[in-house]
Amino acid sequence: MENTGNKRDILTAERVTYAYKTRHQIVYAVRDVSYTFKSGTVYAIVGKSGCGKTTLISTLAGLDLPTMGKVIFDGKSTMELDRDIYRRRDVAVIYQNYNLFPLLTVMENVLYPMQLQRRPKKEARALAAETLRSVGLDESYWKRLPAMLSGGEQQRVAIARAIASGQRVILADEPTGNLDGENSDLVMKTFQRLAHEEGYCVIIVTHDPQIADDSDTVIRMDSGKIVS
Amino acid sequence: MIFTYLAKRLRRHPSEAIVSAAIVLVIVVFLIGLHAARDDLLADMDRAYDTIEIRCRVTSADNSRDYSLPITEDYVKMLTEEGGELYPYVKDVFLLETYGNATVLPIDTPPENYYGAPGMDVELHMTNDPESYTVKEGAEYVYKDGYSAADFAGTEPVCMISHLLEPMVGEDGTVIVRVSQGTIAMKMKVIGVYADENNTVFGAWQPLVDLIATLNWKPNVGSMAFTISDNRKLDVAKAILRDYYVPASKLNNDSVQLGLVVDDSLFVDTITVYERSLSLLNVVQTLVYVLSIGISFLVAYLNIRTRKLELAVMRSLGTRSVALYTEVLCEHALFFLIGGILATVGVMLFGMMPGAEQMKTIGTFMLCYLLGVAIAVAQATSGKIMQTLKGKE
Ligand SMILES: Nc1ncnc2c1ncn2[C@@H]1O[C@H](COP(=O)(O)OP(=O)(O)OP(=O)(O)O)[C@@H](O)[C@H]1O
Ligand SMILES: [Mg+2]
Repeated sequence: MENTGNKRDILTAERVTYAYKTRHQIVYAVRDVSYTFKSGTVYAIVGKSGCGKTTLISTLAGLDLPTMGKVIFDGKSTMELDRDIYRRRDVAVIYQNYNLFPLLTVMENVLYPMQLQRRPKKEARALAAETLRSVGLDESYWKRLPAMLSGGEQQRVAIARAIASGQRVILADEPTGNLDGENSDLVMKTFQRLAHEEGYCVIIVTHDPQIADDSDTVIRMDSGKIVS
Repeated sequence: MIFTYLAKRLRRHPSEAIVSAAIVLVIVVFLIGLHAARDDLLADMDRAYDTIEIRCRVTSADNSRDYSLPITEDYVKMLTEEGGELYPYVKDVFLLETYGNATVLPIDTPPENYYGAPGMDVELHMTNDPESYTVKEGAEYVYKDGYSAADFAGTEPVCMISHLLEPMVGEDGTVIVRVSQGTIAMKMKVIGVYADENNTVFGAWQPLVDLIATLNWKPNVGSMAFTISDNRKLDVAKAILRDYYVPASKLNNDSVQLGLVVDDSLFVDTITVYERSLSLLNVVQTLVYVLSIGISFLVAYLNIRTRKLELAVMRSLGTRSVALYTEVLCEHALFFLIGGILATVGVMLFGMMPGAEQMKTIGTFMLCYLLGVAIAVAQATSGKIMQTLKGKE
């Protein structure tokens, strides 16, 4: 495995516990997880369904604060950070269920985070176009609404939206779940390039052994804990 | 950025806007309509206040004796003289004295024979308005051309006679009336006749008062009539009047008090009807208000609930919640404006012109509506983004 680019600690989970509290019960989805993610690395998180993978990366993404413990980005806890800015500038999430804007076209969906970052229009458009092409979506797709795309195509739009806007940490929840082998490869290559050439930290939740094999580090989870 | 997103949403999903605007339209039309109805009612009520005359009459009421009590000078002053307690509340005060016996002399009687000459015995009433005292049911006053009851309030010696006295009228249209046990007499111009078998003469107040004043006599006011000058002050006037007079309805058989009749039943009935309608309208208006706020809240809430995921995605990408509120509020303000403007144009086509008052109402409604939207957004984004985002899994 090639390892260019310098690796440094970028994102740390420090004794992170996350509990879903419902009216009748408390579900501990993540229990006491400590781990340090480095830049320039592709991580794969694997584990049985329901073991807490989505919950862990959501906490890492600053969508919520951990119930106990800390998530530390660049030396600062997400508790102290302005989490709006953190999500806008530092982390990108690819959701298991895509979470595209149903009333925005493919192009507009990809542009949205860049508009939030106040990037110049032209630059943003060029970047979005390039990224969409890199995941195999040519111009004929750009003006469609998500409802007019297949599951795999939607997934690739979600990937493009996450990587076009340039956050250094990419959290991907089963990004290849709906992709064929060829597209899956294409996406994985993109992640590897981002990590190895540009120093991104890419964390992929996956059930696909091939993706796990192609990652630099595999993290196994079981019942909310990291087991290896 | 907010506005481009908004425009795109509107273009691609107009039904939301249409439903919201339509609901606003209906409510605004309702509010303007209610307002207009209320304004009409208030205008009618004002007209009733301004035009219904409340006549009051003071009579010497004594049912057990057959003489009447004179109305004292103080009473009269209270009503007729500046500084009098009731003076500010009344107008058109009419006075009448039943002067008593007088004689109408044949028209060819020379002045030197006025004293002692024989004539026809009549009853003389001094008044500045004969019409305040109906002679007899059905006996109408008929004025000669160019004359009216108002002439009795002037200084010219004019009179109104029974048709029985018409043969006594001279070619110059006057009669000679002798008063005060035959000591003085004056020529009075006949300006009207009434058809009744009595021989009462109504003479103008001031000239007759001046005439008897030469004998050092003062008129005894036997009855008075007046009109409330400002119906809005009726209650105040009544409160003052009550201290002086016993309402006619409370007079006993053997009462020797003066009776006051305030003939305000038409006025009170009319105003009561208006006031009842007005309070009903107020209730309806409040109800529509509360209902419209409730409905608009519900619409906004349901609308935003369908967008909960979309809002959560926006938050997850780092959109500030302030921007989120701004966006949704702008959007709904736009829907409101569309609905509101259509409604306003609509009612104007029907000839209603919404005034400042209505605009204020609509403005308040808009604020409440947007408050509803804001609460709905708060409600929709209050849950954890993380759990909302996972919702579709
Ligand atoms: N909103 C919620 N309320 C209560 N419990 C929840 C909620 N969301 C998830 N859980 C529970 O938390 C645990 C972890 O869920 P999570 O979604 O992180 O699993 P996962 O590893 O991503 O699973 P999968 O591979 O199926 O996506 C599960 O047991 C789940 O039942
Ligand atoms: Mg999951």
